[in-house]
Amino acid sequence: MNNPDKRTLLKGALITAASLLGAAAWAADDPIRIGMTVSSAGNYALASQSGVRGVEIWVDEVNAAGGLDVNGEKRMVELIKRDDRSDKQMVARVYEDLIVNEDVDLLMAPFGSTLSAAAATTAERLDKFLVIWSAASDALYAQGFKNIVSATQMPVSRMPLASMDLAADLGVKSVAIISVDEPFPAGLAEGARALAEERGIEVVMQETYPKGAKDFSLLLQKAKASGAELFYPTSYEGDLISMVRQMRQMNVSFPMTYMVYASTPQFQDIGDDADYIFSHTNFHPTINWEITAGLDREEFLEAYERLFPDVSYEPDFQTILAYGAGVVAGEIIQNAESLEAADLKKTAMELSDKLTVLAGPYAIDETGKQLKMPFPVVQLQSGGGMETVWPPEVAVAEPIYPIPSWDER
Amino acid sequence: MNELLLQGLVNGIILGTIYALIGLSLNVIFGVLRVVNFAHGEFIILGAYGAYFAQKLLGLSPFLAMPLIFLAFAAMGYGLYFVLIKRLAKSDDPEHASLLVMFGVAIALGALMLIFFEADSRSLSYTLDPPFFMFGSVIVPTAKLVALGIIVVITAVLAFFLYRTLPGKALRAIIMNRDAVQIVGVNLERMSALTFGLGLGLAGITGVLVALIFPAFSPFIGQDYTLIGFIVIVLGGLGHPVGAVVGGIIFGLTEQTALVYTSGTTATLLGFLLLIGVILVRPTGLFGREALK
Repeated sequence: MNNPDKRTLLKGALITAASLLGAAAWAADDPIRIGMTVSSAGNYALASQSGVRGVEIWVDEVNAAGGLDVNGEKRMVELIKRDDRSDKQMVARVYEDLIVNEDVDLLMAPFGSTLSAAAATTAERLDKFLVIWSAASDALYAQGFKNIVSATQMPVSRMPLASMDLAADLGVKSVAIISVDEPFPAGLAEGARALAEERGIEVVMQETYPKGAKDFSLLLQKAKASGAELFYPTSYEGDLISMVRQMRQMNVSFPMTYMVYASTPQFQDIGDDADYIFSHTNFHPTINWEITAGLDREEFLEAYERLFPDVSYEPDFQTILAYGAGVVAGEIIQNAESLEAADLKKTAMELSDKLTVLAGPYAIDETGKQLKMPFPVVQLQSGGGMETVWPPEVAVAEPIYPIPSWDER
Repeated sequence: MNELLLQGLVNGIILGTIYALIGLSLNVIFGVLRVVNFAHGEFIILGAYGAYFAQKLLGLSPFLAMPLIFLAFAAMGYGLYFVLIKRLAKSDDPEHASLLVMFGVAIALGALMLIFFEADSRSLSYTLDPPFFMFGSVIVPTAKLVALGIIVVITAVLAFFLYRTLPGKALRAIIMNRDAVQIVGVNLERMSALTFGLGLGLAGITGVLVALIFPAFSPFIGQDYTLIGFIVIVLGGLGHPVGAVVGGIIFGLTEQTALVYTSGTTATLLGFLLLIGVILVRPTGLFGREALK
């Protein structure tokens, strides 16, 4: 047997070292690829584009810091955006392409429950981890998907959580819930009923009315006659504006009135009639969570202005939810053993209740359903504008309760 | 419950009159022109926006804006007649053609309002003092009482016009026999344009009243009012002005009294069941005559 000479040994050692160094350099250059779709057109275009700007802010923040720390290595993040044109069939096809051909490591969901469900089905079939930021349908989380996590969006049934907690804290004993006969408002109404009952608040009236109803005066009087202390309509903005106007016209007032969309600028545009109404939002100068990961509100706004100077829209709650989901995804990746879907889900569970991002505290159950991220309750306080009154972690003002009746204002 | 029932009856009558006004203008157009104005609701919403911008830009109260909106819409209707409606007469089936054309107008008008006025719900800002009146245990908002008064005046003026003036009589004559009126020298074209102008003028005023009574409006809700208008005229009788008034009040009363005992969804369902019942028993509507067909 021939012994290798010194020169051959040296050559072999050099080749091995070079290949090892090359592999290490390749690993450091290899970015984490994150796939998602955006709706360039269709029903979801506006909300979807609002959302993706949040994800882009997160990507910019991570890459500016040198990347994510994955098993001791810094890896940059690359966002692979595709168009879905608000079409769920297209979502299924494009997410498959992202997984199979683009070889992404992780997926961010598209906007809304309908498109997210299509993406979740594909992610589940091809065993890829999907981070959801805007799907509020409870049904999505009841289908047994193993690879999904709603990082920031709480399901519809839990949206009334903060308002019902506040009502219970204020000593409210009874509630009248009315909703337009549509899935989202009806889901909110059901959630409100369950959460009220859990807190010992009696549901003295629960009614629906058909879409297109224009006059609410009799419904308001029925609610008043029911003796409810809390009036809880879960309808869209137009109906809520009509209700408030007619409450004044009919001299109907309740110790507490909560309206989901009363925090929008369009609602507040109605003037003094909007005063004292309770509502919710997740993005307001007075809402500042004790953040443990990602940017705070001011840093986020600065990043938004820097990255999107030409966008005519301000960041909205979709941008905040999507940004928060990016931050949560980053934390999951940094703490996971690998980028396999099962490992990422395991880590997502381990991080539950240990993170607070711009959108609020993060906690999930095994279905991936978001349990926290409460939309804080705000009240339109006369003269003072909109103030955050609940939960105590972010409250900056005392709730005005009971709401003064119309003739006391 | 009795108090609520009383409240429901009063509410039903007041809402019934506004439904009647929606049906009335629709019926005038259908009766004279045989045009199924599927864009009626969109014109109503345009009237509401007219009042909104008159208030926002000119500082005009909705009540002062009303006659201006009537005139503007009447002029628009008069002009639109020559652009849209006149051509329909050349069609093999003008009634069906009008339905399709006006459906297109409804879509276009809705889209234009969306572009110019945006999707947000708007509401007129006004205060009436006192905001409501109490009649025993029944509370009636001042806005509804004022609207009721305006509707009564409009209906009376319209009735006077139709039954006591020569153009009004000519207009009714067109409803009864379109060919015969031409023989006696009525200028059918001018009367038709006038009718379309009158119909749209009324739609404009209805829009202001609708915005006073049902406070929020957006570009998307025109079809809701078109639907109400058609229910009312099918109930009362196609093409019959008095039928529209009766149909509106019956529909309003049914809907509002049902609401006392059931949910809003069921109450609306009962309103539609009433409609189906009338169609089954009296297909021409309560005031309709076979001759009108």
